[in-house]
Amino acid sequence: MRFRRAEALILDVQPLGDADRIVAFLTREAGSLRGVARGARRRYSRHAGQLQLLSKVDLQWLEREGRELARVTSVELLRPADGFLGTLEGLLTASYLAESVRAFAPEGEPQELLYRLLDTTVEALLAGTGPGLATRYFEVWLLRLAGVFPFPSPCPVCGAELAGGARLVGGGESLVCAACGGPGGETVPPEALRFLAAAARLPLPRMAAEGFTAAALAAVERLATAVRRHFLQQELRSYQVMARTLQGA
Amino acid sequence: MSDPLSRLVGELARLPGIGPKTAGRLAHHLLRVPEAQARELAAAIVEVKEKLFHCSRCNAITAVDPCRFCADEGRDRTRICVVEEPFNIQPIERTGEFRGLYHVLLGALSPQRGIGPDELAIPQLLARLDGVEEVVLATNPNVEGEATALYLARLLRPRVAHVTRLAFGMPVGGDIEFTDEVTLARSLAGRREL
Ligand SMILES: [Zn+2]
Ligand SMILES: [Zn+2]
Repeated sequence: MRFRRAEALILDVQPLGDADRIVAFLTREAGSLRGVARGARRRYSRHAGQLQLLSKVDLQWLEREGRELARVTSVELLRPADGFLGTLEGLLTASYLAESVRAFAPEGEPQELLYRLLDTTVEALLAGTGPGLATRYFEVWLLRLAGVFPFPSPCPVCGAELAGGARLVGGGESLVCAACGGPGGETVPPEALRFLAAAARLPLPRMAAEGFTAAALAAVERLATAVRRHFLQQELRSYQVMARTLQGA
Repeated sequence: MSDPLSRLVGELARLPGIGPKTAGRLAHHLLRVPEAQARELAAAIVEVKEKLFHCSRCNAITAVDPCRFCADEGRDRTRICVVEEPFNIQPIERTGEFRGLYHVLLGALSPQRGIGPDELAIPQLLARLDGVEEVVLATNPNVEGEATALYLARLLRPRVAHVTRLAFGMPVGGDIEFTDEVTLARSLAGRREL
């Protein structure tokens, strides 16, 4: 048994039995973990209000040898996320960000960069960055950190500049010029290339000033979705639910 | 074919909120109770399966169709209270704050578990709106319940004069099941336009 303490972002909260909850969370040093918060289903539990999707907490937990679930022993709220959980889009986006992280972060491996990505994305959403822009930026970097989504550079085959459009080939691993890409892969239009180039050099809060159109964001979403599906060999549930929910509303 | 004890443990462990350890404890407890008591339990389980079903109008659990809420002419038919599960009705009834009809969605939107609007009893709700002036959204104050309420509010606002939400006065994370009667009564009385 080992007591641990870290700053954490809450990824999921589920009821367990009559009184407890299972909490999934992300830390820098210990990566993605799950633990049981005893008594957290009770209304007056000191945990109840703190365990909120994407809130940042100071978490203490007990690691138990050979057990899949840690025991959460203390939660102190550092940064609530209710600022953007009050709308349908906000809730769906939050669920999608959280599930993405869980899908890409194997449990128990350090996740310094992924933690920073999620933390800054939540920070930007709370500061009023549009969910569309923030989510596309997050997707691009999430895939980049997984090693499957290259940022634009001259075509690795012929050395040509890619500004006029490109193709994403090899399951999302290389970005080549249209001439070298052949019929396979995904078409990357110029405005999506511009987004990828900007995401490579700018922090999220400065992306808003670049003035990306809805069409550019849609193109980036299409690409990221194709790459993610290829990488995970399946689609994230929250992405499907988000699409179905917003389409009907 | 597994031995009888493992079979019982296996069946109990399939119940929500019961892990293998608790299932084992319950099974050993049942081994010790008088045979008549064990038969009562088995008969009670079979009886609910044989006699109870979901009301064809509101999805409440009932032995007659329509259920006692839908059949009661004394209830206010201009209001419908929407809940996630049939067991959410009783706590609301106990408060005495609501005298309208109910509608059970049989779940809530749950993005991370892949439960979308198509999995919920929403079309049946939309088909019941004739003459309805208020829909009270009494889904749980957690991510799933809030998403469901916000989604329903968008669908209902063009069709119903008042779409209201319980005023829980607490951050996302709670459960109607574990809300005491006084708090629930206050949430109902203080419900707000969504
Ligand atoms: Zn080339
Ligand atoms: Zn009924």
